[in-house]
Amino acid sequence: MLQQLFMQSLNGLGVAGILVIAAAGLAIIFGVAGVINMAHGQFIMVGAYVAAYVDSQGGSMFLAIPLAFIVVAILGLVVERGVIQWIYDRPLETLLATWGVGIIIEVIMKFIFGTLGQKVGWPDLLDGSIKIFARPPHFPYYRVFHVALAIAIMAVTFYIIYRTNFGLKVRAVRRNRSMAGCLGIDTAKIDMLIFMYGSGLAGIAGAVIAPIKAATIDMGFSYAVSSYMVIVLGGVGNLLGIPTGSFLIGEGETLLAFRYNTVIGQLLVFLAIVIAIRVFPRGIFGYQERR
Amino acid sequence: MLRVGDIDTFYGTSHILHGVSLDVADGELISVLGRNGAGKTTLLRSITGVNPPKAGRIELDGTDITAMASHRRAQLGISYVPQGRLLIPDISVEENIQVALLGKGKSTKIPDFVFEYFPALKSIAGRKAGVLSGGQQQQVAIVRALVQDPKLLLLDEPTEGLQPSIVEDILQMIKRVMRERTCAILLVEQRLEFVRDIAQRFAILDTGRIIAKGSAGELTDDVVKKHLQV
Ligand SMILES: Nc1ncnc2c1ncn2[C@@H]1O[C@H](COP(=O)(O)OP(=O)(O)O)[C@@H](O)[C@H]1O
Ligand SMILES: [Mg+2]
Repeated sequence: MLQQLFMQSLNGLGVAGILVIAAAGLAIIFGVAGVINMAHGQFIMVGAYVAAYVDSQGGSMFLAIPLAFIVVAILGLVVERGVIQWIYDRPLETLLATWGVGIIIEVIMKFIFGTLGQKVGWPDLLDGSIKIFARPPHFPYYRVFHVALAIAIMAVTFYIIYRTNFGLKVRAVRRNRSMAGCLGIDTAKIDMLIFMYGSGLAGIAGAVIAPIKAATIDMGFSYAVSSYMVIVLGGVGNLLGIPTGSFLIGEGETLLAFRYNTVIGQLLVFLAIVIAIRVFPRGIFGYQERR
Repeated sequence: MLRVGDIDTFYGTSHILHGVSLDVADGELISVLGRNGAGKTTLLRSITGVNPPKAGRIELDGTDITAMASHRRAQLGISYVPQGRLLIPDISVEENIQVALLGKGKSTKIPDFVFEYFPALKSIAGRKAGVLSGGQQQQVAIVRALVQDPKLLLLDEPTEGLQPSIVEDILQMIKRVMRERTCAILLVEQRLEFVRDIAQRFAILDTGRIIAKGSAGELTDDVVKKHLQV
């Protein structure tokens, strides 16, 4: 029993890893540029199709990850330059516009790839599991990979934001956009680059999720919903909100699913979040409006 | 160098500046005076592009900057010390200054001359800007502007809310800038003795209009009584 609980909490960690990977891009775009990207799920989906394409050409997921980053970052650039840059200061319109963008992406992807899903294979490297205890369940390598990738994404993002000149500009823009502009910082360019980076991360999420779920047109939806929950719970006032929200939700869902079942687990987590935002109305780490 | 020609500036639909014109010559210090709410800050925000005017024209060395983005104005040589300082509170003093250096495309090494202007900087460089005293924050805000080697320095009430001894430090700092740097200064200031001490010219704003201007010598007690006292 104790053994099982331990294994379940390890699994919860793996789920948290996936959540970090899925939510990071959404959180960074919201945290810096102040835009809630309603097309986040579709960005993830495009990343998954990139992985499916790479897989169909015999390439591995380790190639698909950087490629999905690049492709979806470019998609983000097109969306930002084409639509968002004109409406940053109107939150309701950015919601509607990105929602519309999501629908357009779905239509285009359906037209190109049809409605049938595409299976994506695992890299051989991730087959198998760590046998922590003699008896199953064991801890599968792919969950280890998810946790490691989540840590890597957070580490790279921390490095960019807190250790580079670009990151210093980002922090200045985030604190006070108009003053940063008066200091000579091209705030529109910072917003654009952050939108690209966050979009690219959504692409990575798609490439990582594809082998679990296969690439389908609506696959991004549930991950987008989870990502919104991570942001609502964790807040985006600090990058730590992403792993914090992911950890609480990932462990909560997994352990409650173990105790009851998946549906009740998700329901209870949802209820817990509703209660939590009465205590932390802006998430545990808070957030600021765009200004 | 700076020509503000007949500008009208709004916040939303409220019309704040009405046909304001003002010239600043190379290397001079001109002071803008006026009661609270007269539109002094709004004038500076029109010049920096935070609130660009809806009508009229602003030129810097002959270049039309009326509708230019703020960051490009900064790169052309306008540096701004806003009312309330607006440092980034949760990053270090050093990083606050580095933001200004990066904005000008410079390296992040803080130039030596600023330590002469503000010797205490060495000991507080690593502190978070938000924990400094008002006087220190003001000095950091001025230094942050100076590292940009501005052609035109905009100072908005740099002594507001500061103790007399620190007001004197700020005064000495501005005098030193006048002596040693080649920049013009547009100073918004409420303290008359301060203005009389360092300004070459003055202009008085009242409800968004320039109602008096002249050389510093013309800022007599009569003028003050008529236009500035409440
Ligand atoms: N953000 C704003 N929105 C609307 N009105 C403003 C805003 N800022 C200032 N005002 C109004 O504009 C007028 C001029 O303000 P301001 O330029 O700050 O005056 P000053 O700096 O001379 O004290 C005031 O009547 C003030 O109420
Ligand atoms: Mg003011």
